[in-house]
Amino acid sequence: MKILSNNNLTRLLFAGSIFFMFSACEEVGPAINLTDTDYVTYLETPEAAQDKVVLIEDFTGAACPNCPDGHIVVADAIENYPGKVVAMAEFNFPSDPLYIEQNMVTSEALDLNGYLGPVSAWPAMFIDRKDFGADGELEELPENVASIMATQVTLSSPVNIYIENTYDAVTRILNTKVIVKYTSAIASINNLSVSLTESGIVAAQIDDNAGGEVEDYIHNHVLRKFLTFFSGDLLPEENTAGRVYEFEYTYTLPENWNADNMYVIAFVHNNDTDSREVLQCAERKVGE
Amino acid sequence: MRKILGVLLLVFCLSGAYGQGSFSGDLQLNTEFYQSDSSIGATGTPHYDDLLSSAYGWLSTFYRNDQYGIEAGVRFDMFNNSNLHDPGIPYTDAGIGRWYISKKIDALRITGGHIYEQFGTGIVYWSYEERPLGIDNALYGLEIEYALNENWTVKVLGGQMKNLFSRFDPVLKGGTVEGFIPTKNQQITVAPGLSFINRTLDQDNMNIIVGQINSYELEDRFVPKYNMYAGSIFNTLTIKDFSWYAEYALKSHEAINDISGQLVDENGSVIYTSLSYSTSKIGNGFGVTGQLRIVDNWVMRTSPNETLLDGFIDYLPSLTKQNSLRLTARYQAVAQQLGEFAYQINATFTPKKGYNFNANFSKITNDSLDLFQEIIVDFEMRKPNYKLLLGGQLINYNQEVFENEPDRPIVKTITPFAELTYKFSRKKSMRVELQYQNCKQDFGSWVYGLVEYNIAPKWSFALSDMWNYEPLRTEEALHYYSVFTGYTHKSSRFTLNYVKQIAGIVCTGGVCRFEPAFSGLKAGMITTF
Repeated sequence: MKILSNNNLTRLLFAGSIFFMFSACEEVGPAINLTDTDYVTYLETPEAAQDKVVLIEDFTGAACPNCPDGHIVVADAIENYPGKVVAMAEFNFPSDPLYIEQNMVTSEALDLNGYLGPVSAWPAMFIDRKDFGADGELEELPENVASIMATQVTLSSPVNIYIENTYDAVTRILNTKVIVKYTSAIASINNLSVSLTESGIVAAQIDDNAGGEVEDYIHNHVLRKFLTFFSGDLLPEENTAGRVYEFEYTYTLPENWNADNMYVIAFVHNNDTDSREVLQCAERKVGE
Repeated sequence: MRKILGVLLLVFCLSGAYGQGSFSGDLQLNTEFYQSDSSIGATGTPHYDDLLSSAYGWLSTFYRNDQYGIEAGVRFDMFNNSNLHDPGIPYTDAGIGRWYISKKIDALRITGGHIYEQFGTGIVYWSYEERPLGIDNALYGLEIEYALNENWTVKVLGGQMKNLFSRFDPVLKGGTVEGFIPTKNQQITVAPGLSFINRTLDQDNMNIIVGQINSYELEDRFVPKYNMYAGSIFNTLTIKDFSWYAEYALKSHEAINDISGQLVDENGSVIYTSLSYSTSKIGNGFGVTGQLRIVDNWVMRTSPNETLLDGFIDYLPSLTKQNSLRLTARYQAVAQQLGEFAYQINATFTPKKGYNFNANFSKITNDSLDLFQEIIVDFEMRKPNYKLLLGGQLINYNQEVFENEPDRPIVKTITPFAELTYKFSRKKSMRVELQYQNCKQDFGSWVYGLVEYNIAPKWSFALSDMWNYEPLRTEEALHYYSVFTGYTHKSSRFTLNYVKQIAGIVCTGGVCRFEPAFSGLKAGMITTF
């Protein structure tokens, strides 16, 4: 049975192979931080260590029916450990852009999926970006958060973080100063990440717990913007006890962001290939 | 895997039912027993401390039916605390190491499974197996081969590179067109070719790369590429007694590790050419071959996260003479992927039957740095009842670069050697090797002797000793001796070898790696059926 003649097959092979070779010569490429942030650094007498503040990151989406489960465990953790938990809801659910026009997906949250995951199921919870299951995966199911938090909040931190904000409501310009102070020496590569979150956003959410779409769902801790690169800016000096860094950021808030409900979050974390662990985290309201 | 075996079994059975085919195979089995010897550095690893033995083997079976154009094969691999892949680190696993099935349909051949393939000389792509070094770089995927006519062939393939019993995550696709242009004058022939390969990184590998790059100083950061494209154009031109091969290969820029292990964004190239002349008009035969290779950042791996001999998709062997005698093979030049300028000239002259002169000169440099130089000459005389080989070798070897040993001087050796094979009768023969290596660096000077007695076709016995009689790294003048017995029965060969082996670069087929010292007993078996 000859379906193809020799000549036709030859052409097909050539066309196929050439298509294979050159079908995608251009590529967008991964996110690389190609800018540097100025900083001031010096050594001082090490101060006493702050209590550990835990960062919970929640990969979520408005079109994700199970994602409100993640919102619930985050709210529980904040209630159970006041002042010791900082949360970021990172919208990167693939269907969100098709679901709501004013979606909360950010390019940085999408990049974080590559940096911390990639995950294949939402919601995905990241607690201090640690691998608690020793399975090579950083993400956890919502039902595991409570037990992990009970241990995580008792740990100490080798870094103190301070945030000082100045906000002009007229110009909507935010000036943020982040001070990082090492209280113990750290040998791993460390980055500082600084982001803006907004709470109290009213927008639709598909919620299996509510039996379908909730039009006026209140979204809290929504990641709006990283003031650093999404994977942080390098803390490049030898990070001995007493090492201090001072970073300053200026950003004009868009009109549709409610500054009254916004927070600056800063956290220091490992940036080694085998560890992204968050060493310390801090949060301060934009107007404070 | 059960499904795969089922399909192959079905092919064997159906083919057996419908046509006559041939079934063949082979088994290679090696066992090593470790005996700690701290004087030569053979100690302190799990094998010497606790495990005491290791074994590894391959059982290959093939079925071929020319009537239906079907070919299939399956190979069972076993590694029990194997020292093969990463010397010093035991590895244990077993399973199907290779399977493939191939069907020919007129001028088209389709193959699926683990595929060994080569484009050109292998500079752009060569999936191959080198068991002594633990290399099995098969492609797990599909290949289509089509004969355009009797002189031109196109091959297209795609898949992932094998990684022991799993696969490296990046994917590959590529193709080659190779041909032969006959001329009316049969004394001139042209054999051109063209090949391409495209490797696409997976997200996990890219995440590691991105994490590394983002930790660098700003001026060292760059946006890495998921895709690497490489291609080469090559041709063999033969005019009477001359043959000229030339290949030029280019690859697109991607993240590769520089000499310090930092990722850099570099493109690469290789220029390789060889010119040979051979004639029977001078004496009883004369031949000369010159080879030149210029390598610039030619690192072809599945990803820059792979190290040592892992994840290679090409074949870039050493461009120096592959010596077989023990001391002449002591210092060998590993191909320098990041950059080398290498050339060698080899001449062979046979003034009359039974007499043969060989001379070889090779040199490798990198920028202004001398890496390797070898001059080796030998004379071989063959008579009905004996064969005599006499020769000498001079080597300059950059140990700092090849063995990554800082502050080591250039190793300079002078090595005269002799080998005599004497036939007592049609079945009984003796082979004697004598080598001396004068060296004022590294381990110092050596003497090597070997006596081998063969009773054809079954028995072989050998005693050898490599004596570090002027030691520079040890207080004592150590002996590295070996006692060997081999027995052949029909198509099976069994060997036993008690060995003291010095640490050093070991090369097979021009591919090299560092191996630690060995002390103990090696038992081996090879059989074909």
